[in-house]
Amino acid sequence: MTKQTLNVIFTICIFIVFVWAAVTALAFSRLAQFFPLYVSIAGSLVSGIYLVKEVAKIMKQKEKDSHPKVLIVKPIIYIGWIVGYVITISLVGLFVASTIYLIAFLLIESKFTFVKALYSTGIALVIITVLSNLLNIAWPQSVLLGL
Amino acid sequence: MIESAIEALSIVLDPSRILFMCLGIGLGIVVGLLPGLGGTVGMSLLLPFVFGMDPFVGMALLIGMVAVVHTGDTFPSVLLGIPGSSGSQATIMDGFPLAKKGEASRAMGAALFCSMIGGVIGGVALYLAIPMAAPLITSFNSPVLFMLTMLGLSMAGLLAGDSPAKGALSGLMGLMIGSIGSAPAITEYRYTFDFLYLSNGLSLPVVALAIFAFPILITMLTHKGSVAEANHLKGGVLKGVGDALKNKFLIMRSAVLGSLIGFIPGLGGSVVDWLAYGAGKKTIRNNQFGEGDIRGVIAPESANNAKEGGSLIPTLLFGIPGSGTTAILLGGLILMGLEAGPRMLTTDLSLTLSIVWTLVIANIIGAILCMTLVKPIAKLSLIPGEKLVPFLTILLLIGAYQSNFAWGDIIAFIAIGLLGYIMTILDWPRPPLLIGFVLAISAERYYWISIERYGWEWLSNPIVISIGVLIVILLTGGSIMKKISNNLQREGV
Repeated sequence: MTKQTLNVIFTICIFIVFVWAAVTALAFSRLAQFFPLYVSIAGSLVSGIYLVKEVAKIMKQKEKDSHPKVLIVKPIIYIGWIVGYVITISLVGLFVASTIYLIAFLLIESKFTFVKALYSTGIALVIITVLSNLLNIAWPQSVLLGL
Repeated sequence: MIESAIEALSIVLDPSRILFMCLGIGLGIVVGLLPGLGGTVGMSLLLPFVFGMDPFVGMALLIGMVAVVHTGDTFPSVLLGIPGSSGSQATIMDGFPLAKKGEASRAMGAALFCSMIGGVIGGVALYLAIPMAAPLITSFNSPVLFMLTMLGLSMAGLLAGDSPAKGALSGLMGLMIGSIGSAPAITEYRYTFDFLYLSNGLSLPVVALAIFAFPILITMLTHKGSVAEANHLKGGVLKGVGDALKNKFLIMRSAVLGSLIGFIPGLGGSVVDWLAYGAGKKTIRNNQFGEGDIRGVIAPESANNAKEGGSLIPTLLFGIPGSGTTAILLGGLILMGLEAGPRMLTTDLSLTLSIVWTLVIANIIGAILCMTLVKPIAKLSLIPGEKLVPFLTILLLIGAYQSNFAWGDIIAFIAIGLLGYIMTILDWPRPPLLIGFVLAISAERYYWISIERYGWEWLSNPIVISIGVLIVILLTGGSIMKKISNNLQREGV
């Protein structure tokens, strides 16, 4: 997918969100309504105008296919790692999830040897635990186990 | 007053007080270094310990910590492009590109030196403002505060880059995200989808981390490289200090601006660095702000430490907290048996002056301490992304969680992070979104109070008109000057 196409898709999404926000704001009481309504109307107008301009630009340049492509698969994989880590925290708690995530990531993505991955994980977990205790930092709890 | 100041200095220099100040400084630097934690977290940690403490010792501890949070937060902003706290967002704009060029130490040197000078200027501002604070603070009514908020929003326009439409949309998205939660004028919830987490709105650290840090995590992995594109570090701390000295007027200007903005209760110190950055971008000729211009580091860093001195004026003298940090400081004063208010200028004047000295001394010690850490920490920018990112992910998720200790923080971090990532790959400017978010509630609150209290009459207030003119000049001045200069060039003048 080209950058320009993705830009148009993104602008359409923003336009839809602003229009929805404006329609929703109409249901608020007067004092709660004015600010989100003004902002969403302005947003709808600006995104609408920008969208028309961008589409017109694409129509004019239809023949040319020299626009830079956007990476899709790689970012989805890496976002998946983060989302997977968050889901693991929700299942088994931060400490266990961090151990699994660090070892897996360091072995698969960072190409560490098993021993190197193991001691890097150990050091990181010790630092996090010590800092958390010293600064009284709260950890996300496991939704299932309450860890 | 001078005699009282000298007396206060002798109190502050007492070894036991210096020791507690150093403890506060140490904690302040650690809190600043860790993304997501800010002065509020540091204050909350120290608050239980100040109960019943000698007020001079307790204030040395608390103010020592507050003074250097914005010194320590420079490290993640420059080295990783992640805001260490809400006051170091604008530092990313040029600090991170400098780190990419392998000039992290230079950027850090300039930033730390400016933080120190800015902090000292903030202390001096606090000292000078003591006799004339009352009339100044009472002159800021809602219409003026609304216009100052608009001035802050106009910075979003300045940071829009090549596409004003993208910049405007980004700012409007920020305002929209900022309007999630309860309305300031009435007890009604907006866009919360019946989620309890959203009823209080999204918190600034979560949005700031998501919009800047999440995209960095992904782009570091997809580009498979370290932050620094060069394989060695160029320029040292002293080069950065030299750069700062060459721009002494910029430091002065930004620090004075920082003190003034901090001084205004309710405007929100989180926007001070953007204001200083925007003002610098607009007033410096031939700048390359956004591409690694050292002056883009100097301006916000001079302002964010100076802000602390300014924000203490309404807090100490009127009991009006300008931020979460100063609100907790008020609690600390009560725990030590003190009360903010006019007494701080009479009976407790020596304590007020000791705070001024603590601010000044803590900024100097904090900056020197950080400068010694620059060399080892700057090497972080040479570590390849795939080796650094897994550790950063853990740190950022824990940092985001500290805002409300709720799973909503983490979900919001990922959701807004995805928005930030898409904006990054499509070259949409992200700073306007953050400025819009920071100022959304202030803009709505002050607009509503102005209309309800003054009708449309407030538009004829001379200060309102002056700020309005300033906004127009800021937004249009650059393009008008450019047009004139182009015309002159064409005519061969």
